Amino acid sequence: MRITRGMMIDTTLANIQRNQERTSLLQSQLTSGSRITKPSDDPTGAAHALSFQEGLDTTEQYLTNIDQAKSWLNTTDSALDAVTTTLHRARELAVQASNDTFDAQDRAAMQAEITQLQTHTLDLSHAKFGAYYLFAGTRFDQPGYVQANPSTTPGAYQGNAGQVQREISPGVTLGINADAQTTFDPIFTAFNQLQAGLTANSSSQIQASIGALDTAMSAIVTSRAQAGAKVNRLEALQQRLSDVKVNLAGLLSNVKDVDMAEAITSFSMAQNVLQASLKAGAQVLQPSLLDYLR
Amino acid sequence: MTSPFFGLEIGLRGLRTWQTMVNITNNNIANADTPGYSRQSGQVQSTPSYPAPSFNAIGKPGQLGTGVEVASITRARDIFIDAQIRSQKSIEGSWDTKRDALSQVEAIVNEPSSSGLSSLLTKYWNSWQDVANNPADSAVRANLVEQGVSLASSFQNLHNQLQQQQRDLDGQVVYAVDQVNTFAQQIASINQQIGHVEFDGTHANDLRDQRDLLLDQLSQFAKISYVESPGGMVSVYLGGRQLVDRDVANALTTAVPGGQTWTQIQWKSDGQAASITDGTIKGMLDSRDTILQGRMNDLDVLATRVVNSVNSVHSSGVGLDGVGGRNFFVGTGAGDMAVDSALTGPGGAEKVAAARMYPDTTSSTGYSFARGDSSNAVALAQLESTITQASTSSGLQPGTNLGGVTIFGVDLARAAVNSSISMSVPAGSSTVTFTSSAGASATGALTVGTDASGNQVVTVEGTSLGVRLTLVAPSSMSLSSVLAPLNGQSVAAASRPSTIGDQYGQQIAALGVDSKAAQNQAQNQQVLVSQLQKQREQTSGVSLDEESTHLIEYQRAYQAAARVITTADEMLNTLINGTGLVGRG
Repeated sequence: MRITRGMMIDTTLANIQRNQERTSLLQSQLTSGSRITKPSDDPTGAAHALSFQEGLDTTEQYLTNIDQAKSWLNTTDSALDAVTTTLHRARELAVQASNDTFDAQDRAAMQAEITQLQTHTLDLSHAKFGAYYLFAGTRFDQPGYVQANPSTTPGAYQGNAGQVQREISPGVTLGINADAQTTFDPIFTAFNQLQAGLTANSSSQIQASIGALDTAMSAIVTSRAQAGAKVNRLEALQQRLSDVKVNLAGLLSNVKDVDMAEAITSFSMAQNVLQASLKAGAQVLQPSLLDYLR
Repeated sequence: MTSPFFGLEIGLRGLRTWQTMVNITNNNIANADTPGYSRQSGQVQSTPSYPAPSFNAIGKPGQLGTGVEVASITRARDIFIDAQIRSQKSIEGSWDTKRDALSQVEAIVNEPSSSGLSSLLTKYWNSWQDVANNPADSAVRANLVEQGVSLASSFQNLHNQLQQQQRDLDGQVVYAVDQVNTFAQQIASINQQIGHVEFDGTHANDLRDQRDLLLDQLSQFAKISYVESPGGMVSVYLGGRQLVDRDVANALTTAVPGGQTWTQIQWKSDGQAASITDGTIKGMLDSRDTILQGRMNDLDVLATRVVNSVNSVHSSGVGLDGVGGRNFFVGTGAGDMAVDSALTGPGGAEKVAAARMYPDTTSSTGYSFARGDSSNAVALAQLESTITQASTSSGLQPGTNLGGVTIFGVDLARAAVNSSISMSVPAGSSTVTFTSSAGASATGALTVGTDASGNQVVTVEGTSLGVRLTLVAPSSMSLSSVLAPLNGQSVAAASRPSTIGDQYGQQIAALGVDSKAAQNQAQNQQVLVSQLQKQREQTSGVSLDEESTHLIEYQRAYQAAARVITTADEMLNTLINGTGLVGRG
């Protein structure tokens, strides 16, 4: 087979070119740390990388939502806790007042404290989370219950029955507000009954109001239980989503990141091959018959 | 009997011949690295012997050889390899161009990365989540509008960059056609020169080499076929028509036909479209019309899906000003997608529709909204994970006007896949009943609000079926007359195989596959062409070792011929000065 110098030059150049291409590709992988810099590096891998990244970002967002929801629920719980304390005190007073050893004067004095407790409960119903009222439904730019006169009637609720929604995982929303009316209406009803009984100086009415206070208490307990259950659910979900995040990050890294050890090994190998081809090229191109003819 | 000068003549012929051969070898050595050069060799043959047959034969012993001459100078060329190389080079040219075009598209698209479209889409959906968490916070709302602007301008940007690439390719096509015309003219003029030279039987070796080089270069631009006529001229055919007709070149021209956007290649003489296969020109045309256009169409489909889905949900909600019926995005495709100016202008953040109207007996109109309601924002954020949307080919379409009522938004994101939902409104009533193709039915929940121009915005929702319509009608119409045109209409829920993000991912994967395929093909062709070129080099290449050996050979032959002349000279000397001297002193 006839070999000309031109052929040898072309072959040498082509091989050196190819080796340099390989070395340069490995170098760019090493410096960027990423195996996939453009879709053609690994088409299905690129699509997976995109969807894993999207999953990571949305999971992060859900965790933020859950955090805020938990804070809301915890704030609700503390407010309701304070209301419970107030109700206990009111019940104590009501039990005392139902005793017939108390006369009208004593009862009038007690009424003052009951009014204070009532006002305090109203204030507690104006509890806020940041700028939003907790007990006003979705009309949370204004307080739910307003004070029309020293006694607050159930009809003075100006919020609505709306649910404050938060999305906590794909397609799943959670209403995080306590229903203001089911929680507070019984309380104000009981207070009004107690007030009426004290004004009328009637033991039987005061006795009846103790029952109403008990109903109010169980309404609060129910509310708190619901809030507590939601917090538990959110915490479990938070744990699960954190695990999901870790998994996704691992998957993303698998697909996208370059295995450093492997890449460095391949890179030094490629460099060796390149050097060898350069040396061989230098040696094969030199001799020709002209060197040996006089 | 031959004359004494016969020997001189033989020597002289020898000298001439071997000097010519040395010159040919010198030429080969000098042109060893010239592109397109094929090595030349002289065909040495004996000159006609003496005596020639004639009527009056001498009758002496014969025939006697009369020496040597260079009969012809030929070049070593394999025309079959040439033809193979040219057709493979055309294919190589086409794949090289496509590979480069796809690689540029990948650079424009810039995925996977944190600044690519996928990441922007996710940020957009997440900012709706933030609004859902803080519906009354104007900073959060303003951020959402900014994210929307960022997303829309990203779509526009991609569209424009792809279009710019199309324009660039278009310009390159014009330039390439000019080059083809130049090559054609050069081939035609060389044809003419070769015709003149070969008229008297000599070989126009260097001219043929030049022509072959031109044919090689031309075949990289487009697939050609060629035929050599007896006079030594080559006619070149492109797309079934003659590009070069011996010494006349037929020019190609470029023009934008009426009603089209891009350049078309035509024959100058009659304006017929030129059919180009393979070569860089075909690669450019394919990149411009198929690859880039396909990518732009994909982008449009994605943009339209985002715009329609978002608008259908957004228009059914109300902003903090209580006004509904607003679109979030405007635009028909990726090229003109933008956020509605009402939202980007002053006070726009207030108008982002995060809340929905609900029936409220305490309100004067019977419906009101709450500033803390984020149900619409949640629905918008959930668009990220839905695969159903209103079909664009069947059922009621957004924008349809039925009897004065505009169907502003059709939201089927939560409807069952591939279901068709029909509506019935008994005459004069304000009750809408939805019935799905699976047989389930739901009564429509109504709310009534206003839009920015004072028209009524009526939303009808069949919650269990996942259908929500937004209707806009003049405020003078009664509720039953607004709902009446819905009677007997139906909406179709089309399913996409994937969410918006996944649809985009699939497009990216397809791009990656195409690009990788083009890279592989281009590489294969490169290897193939270089194999063929090596074969050609084997036949036509100059080997310095070979030429140097020949030099020795011819040099010695020349020396020997010179010796012959010396011998003949001495013989003549003997004859002239040495004979017939008897008797002279």
